[in-house]
Amino acid sequence: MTAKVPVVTAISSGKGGVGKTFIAINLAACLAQMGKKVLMVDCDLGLANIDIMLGLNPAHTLKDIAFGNMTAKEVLLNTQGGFDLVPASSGVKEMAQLIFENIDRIKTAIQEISSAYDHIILDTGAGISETVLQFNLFADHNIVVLNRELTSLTDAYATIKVIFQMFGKNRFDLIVNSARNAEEATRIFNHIDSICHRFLGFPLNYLGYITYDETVPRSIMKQTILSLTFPQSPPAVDCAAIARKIAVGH
Amino acid sequence: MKERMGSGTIKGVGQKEGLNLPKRDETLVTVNPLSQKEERRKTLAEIIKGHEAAVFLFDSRTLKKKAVIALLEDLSPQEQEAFEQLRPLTLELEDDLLEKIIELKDENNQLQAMALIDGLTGLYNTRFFTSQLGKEMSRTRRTGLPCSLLMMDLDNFKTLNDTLGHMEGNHFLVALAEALRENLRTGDTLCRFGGDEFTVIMPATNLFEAALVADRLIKVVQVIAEPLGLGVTLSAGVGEYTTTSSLSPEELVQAADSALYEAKRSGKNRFVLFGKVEPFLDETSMVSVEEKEALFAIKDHLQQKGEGDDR
Repeated sequence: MTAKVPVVTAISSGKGGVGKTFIAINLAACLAQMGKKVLMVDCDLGLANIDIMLGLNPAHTLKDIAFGNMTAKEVLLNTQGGFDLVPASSGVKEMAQLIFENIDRIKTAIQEISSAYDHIILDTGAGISETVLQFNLFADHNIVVLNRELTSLTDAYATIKVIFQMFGKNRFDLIVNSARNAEEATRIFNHIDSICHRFLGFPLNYLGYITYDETVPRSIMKQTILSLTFPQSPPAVDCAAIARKIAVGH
Repeated sequence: MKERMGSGTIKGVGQKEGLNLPKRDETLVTVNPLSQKEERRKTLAEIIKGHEAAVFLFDSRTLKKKAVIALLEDLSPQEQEAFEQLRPLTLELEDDLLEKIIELKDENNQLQAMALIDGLTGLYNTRFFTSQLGKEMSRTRRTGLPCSLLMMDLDNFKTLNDTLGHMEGNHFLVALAEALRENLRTGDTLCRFGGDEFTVIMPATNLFEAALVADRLIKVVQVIAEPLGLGVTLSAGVGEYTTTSSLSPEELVQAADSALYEAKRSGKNRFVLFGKVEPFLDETSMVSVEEKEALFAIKDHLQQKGEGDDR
């Protein structure tokens, strides 16, 4: 019973610009602060940006794993957040249309190093590409991030619906981002939850919300991790609360 | 684990991770329409050899509980009558399983009469395959929905035949046919193309979805062949036919076959796609007008709330 089996969590949003990557990074940093060994994989193969958000400029990326040139160990980086990162390549067209075998190779590479971690976080890309679906299939937990925009609500629902229909998964953990207050976040969650219940026949799980705050764009601009630089700011406090839930298995 | 069905029944057997299949030497309780009161214990091997109508259930690797139906011989009119008597009783107790058996039986009889069924495995044969493929391709042209074709071939099957003999080889093919059939979707047509070669015609299925099916079948074969320890695995080639494609049925078979050849050449126990996976969203996956309407119902509320809250 010595080998660790990490919890693999995929974070998706459907729509881009919802704050998925910000949340993924801050959750990873919070989990690391709690003493967890965390591996983050940037699965946003078309337009990767975790490396940029962390001020890194990696020489090797997921692309090298996908095409069988390198192992995950050779590619991974230590980050300021105390977690390890497998970065992706930005603007590589071939990556956005990864075929099955490449995705399989990535999965195998992640599995090879998985025993060193408690948590593996997959930051999937925007949209509902096969790649996004495949990483969601691979994950044990599926987190969907949405905000107060109608387009985000619709895309989050579409993501849930497609994953449910393709793979039969019916457990999704939701995070409402950029909420003005707890009440608004709850209203947004209850709304999408009732629609899932009605049309798909299962309820959603509410993981929490992140308060809208000016510190967020500022921290992104400075390429820092809010949970570390301003742990007392409302969004960082919210991230920490969600991370605690994730740490105990939701 | 026990599964009950009507007066006769079967116990869950050979539980393995992911897939439960009865082993050939494991004891099964069979339902015989003529001797329904006595549950007769036999091994799978005996059932196959004994030409008896057998019904057994197991959980497949999919979430759903599925029924595996082994129809090994046509029933005589007398037996059919007995079977009919058993029917209402059983339907009350379980799902429509018996109904399905009877339906399948009728279909089976008909098809056998038309010589479209492979004698060993009970799957459709090459003749049926050829006519069905043509039909599905014209359905694609009519409906605009793609269809896909899977060509599969066992790896190292010759080793199995050489080591355990042809009888065992045949038994394996029968068990394999069942396992493959169980892991296909409604509407998929599984055929034995001859020897250890099988095909699946998948209506309304694009290349990506077909790849998922191929992946699943390869894993199923890994599970059932693993105990033999002879390196028997499955290789597959996948081809897709769309409205923009100009392939003839023969060319589609050739395309999938060339992908199969590539799968064999590049190391076996895998599938290769002919062509490229296109991003897709099918009709059923789209968010419907009703769903959108429901989603948008929050709109006014959010805006009002937002205006009031703006600092």
